Amino acid sequence: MTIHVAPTPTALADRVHRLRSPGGIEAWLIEDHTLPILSMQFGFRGGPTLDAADRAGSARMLADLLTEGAGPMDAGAFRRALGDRAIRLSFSIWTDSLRGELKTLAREAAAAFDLLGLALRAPRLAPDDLVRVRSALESDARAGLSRPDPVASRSFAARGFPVHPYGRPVGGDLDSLPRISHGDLAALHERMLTRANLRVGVVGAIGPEALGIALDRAFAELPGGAMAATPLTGLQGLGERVVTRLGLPQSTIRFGRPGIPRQDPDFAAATVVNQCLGGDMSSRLFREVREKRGLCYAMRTGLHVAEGACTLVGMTATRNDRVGETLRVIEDELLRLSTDGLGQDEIDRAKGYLLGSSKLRLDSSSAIAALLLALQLDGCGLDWLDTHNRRIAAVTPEDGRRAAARLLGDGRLLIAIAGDPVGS
Amino acid sequence: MQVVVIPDRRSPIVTHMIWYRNGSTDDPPGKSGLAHFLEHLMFKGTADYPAGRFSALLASVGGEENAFTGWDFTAYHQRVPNEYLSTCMTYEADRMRNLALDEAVVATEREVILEERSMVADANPAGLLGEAVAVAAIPAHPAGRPIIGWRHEIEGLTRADALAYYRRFYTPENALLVVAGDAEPEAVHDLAARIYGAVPAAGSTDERRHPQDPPSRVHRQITLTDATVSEPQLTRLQMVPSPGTAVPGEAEALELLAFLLGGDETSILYTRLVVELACATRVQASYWSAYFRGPARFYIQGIPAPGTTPRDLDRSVDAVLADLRESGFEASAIARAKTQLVASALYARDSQVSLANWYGMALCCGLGLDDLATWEARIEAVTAEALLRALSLLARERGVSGHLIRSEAA
Repeated sequence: MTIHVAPTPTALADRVHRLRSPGGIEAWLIEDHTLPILSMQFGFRGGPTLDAADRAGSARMLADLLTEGAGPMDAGAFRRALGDRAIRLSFSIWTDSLRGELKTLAREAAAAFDLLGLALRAPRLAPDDLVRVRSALESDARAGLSRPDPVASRSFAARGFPVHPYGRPVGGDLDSLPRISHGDLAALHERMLTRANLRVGVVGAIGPEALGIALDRAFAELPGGAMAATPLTGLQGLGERVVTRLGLPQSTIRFGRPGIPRQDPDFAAATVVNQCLGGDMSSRLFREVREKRGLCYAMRTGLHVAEGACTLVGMTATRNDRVGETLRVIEDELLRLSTDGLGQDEIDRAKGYLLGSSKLRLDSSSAIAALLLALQLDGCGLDWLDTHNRRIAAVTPEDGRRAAARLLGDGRLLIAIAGDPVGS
Repeated sequence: MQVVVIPDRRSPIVTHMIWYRNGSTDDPPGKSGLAHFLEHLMFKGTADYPAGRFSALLASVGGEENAFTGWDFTAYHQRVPNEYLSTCMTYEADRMRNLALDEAVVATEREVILEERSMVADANPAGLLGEAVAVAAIPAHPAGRPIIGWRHEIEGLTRADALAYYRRFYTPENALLVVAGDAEPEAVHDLAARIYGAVPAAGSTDERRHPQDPPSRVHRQITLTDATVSEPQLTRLQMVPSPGTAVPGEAEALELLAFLLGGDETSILYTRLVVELACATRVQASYWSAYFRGPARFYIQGIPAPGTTPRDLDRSVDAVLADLRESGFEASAIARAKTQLVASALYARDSQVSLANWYGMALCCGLGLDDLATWEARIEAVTAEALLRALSLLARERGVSGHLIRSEAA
């Protein structure tokens, strides 16, 4: 059966207050007093793309050091100051940005924004803390050498983007991490943590005026700076298989092709094509590889939209002696979809899912704040979701056929395997 | 059937969860993995809902569904626009008693599960070590076995095994309904009475009595040496009471103790081992309070710094615990830990899924709604003396240490 869903507006644009603080900091706010807490997600454009070519992991190291003491407080004192007020502050690294999340009880908001401001303006980057953070990252890098997921991801990225930041591990590796100096981190801090790179989304128990004052405590004294931009590139290595031998009973497979960018007229149709190919448990690859043949547990594909490149990427894992069969089934399905396109039923189901789930995912303040931030970092307007949903709703079988042919083409893939595949 | 409704009106979304009060602990001897196997098979359809039909319906409105198996519960959940709540109930009520299983489908799903087992354990030395540590800690009690089951036992699971287990446990009497989100409690109750009330009663599930292990007085050490290990690791496990079996105040003290020992970067183990001695790059402590009806787990885990072995780090952990038994805990650290734990309950209310899980797990593990309502007050009431008593449960002779070591290439 098929249920036709008309795209009802998300009402996001009506609920969001776009504000500019007295100090000139812009933010998107949804004021909601249901719970006495507030959740802020903020990001600085650039992230790991600003790492020097031989110093991958710099942005990640800087992110980890931002909670290791600031101003007069050493790491312990800073974390105790957060803990005493149950303030949660964490930083993470994304493809094109460094992001932070601040969660606080509304009554502690002033202290929370003050501590955040100190962390952003005056991180200590003390020698002891550098050593400790570096050794934790080196430990992760060592652990990742024998785990099939990170190994396959790394070799896929390295072959797919040989001369672009996307080809380097965001957490760094055992060559790059020891090279990163205090000077590198200080320079990266100065270049990335600027008002020009900053984007902010807030959801919670705070009004626009109070938030404006709070934002200034955290961000107004950051340097203006210039906005970072990621160079454009495209996935390379189509038709190639990169195998990294690991003595494990199972092989992890990452496969992909170039994607279709967000501003392309076929982006909405490509989103529908991906959904039908490997987006969920009713998708073609899930059905053919897992449900019918029992070849794998995990099987999914995704359309990854980044500033410098868009890719269609899939992941699965199978017994070493079934790698050949699994890849044959995947490649056959890609070719079939590229050649024959999608049926009306399949398109309708995928459209229904995409339209409905875009709202269902927004079930917590953190999730909504993260969306407000992502839209701004991606340069999308507040109406982007509604516009995109209208485009999804309008996708026809002809659009699907065209997008499938463009996205999947001759079906050639870049394939990275980590394991001990038989006959590869 | 018990029904719990957790209203959250912020979005027109509802989370519907059916919990069964059984899990891998109830797998019959020699058939480990059966609860998890059946969880997979529950998606294979009934006469009214052939395989994939409900999933397609759910997907067409953007809904999400999944399931998970624990030691003492198995849960099925959907997140949907609130007007589809009764659709979810109708589906769950149907597959509670009317599952149809085909031999070929069962055989294919067994292959899927063997691949899942490879991901979490057979192709993952840290996963294998974790399994060995748990079974060494409680060799007699079935909660020591991995939820996914031992490979050789999964290979032998049959359609008949799955159906026998299904008929025994998938009954209204054994189920718990949790609905969180944009729904009126009375309306949920009426819907549930109409839809789940129509499922024929099956009688109460038989009393389960599991073999118990004696109190341990012998420290056990497990070592896994493998060429595919690139970073060594220490995993210490102590069996401690679960909230349902603890004496008053004991579980709360363990919760606070885990936070004080290794909950964050101000914790005692982190400060001493990572910052001051630099013999570890990471360390954490955790009390698995939410997963077990019977004996629960308390873990201390760490990654030794280069030049330190898991054995060295193991000894250093013991030294920190010994010092702590002498010095006790700083009042300011106790107060800070309480502030953070109490706030975490408030932060959790931001997510209907987190709340639904908290209620479901607690009720399946033998707690009542009163226990949840008074949790914050009981955390506030933990004393320094109670913390020292909890600390004594971590004595070395009561625990198991797992060392993950890289074997040098021949």
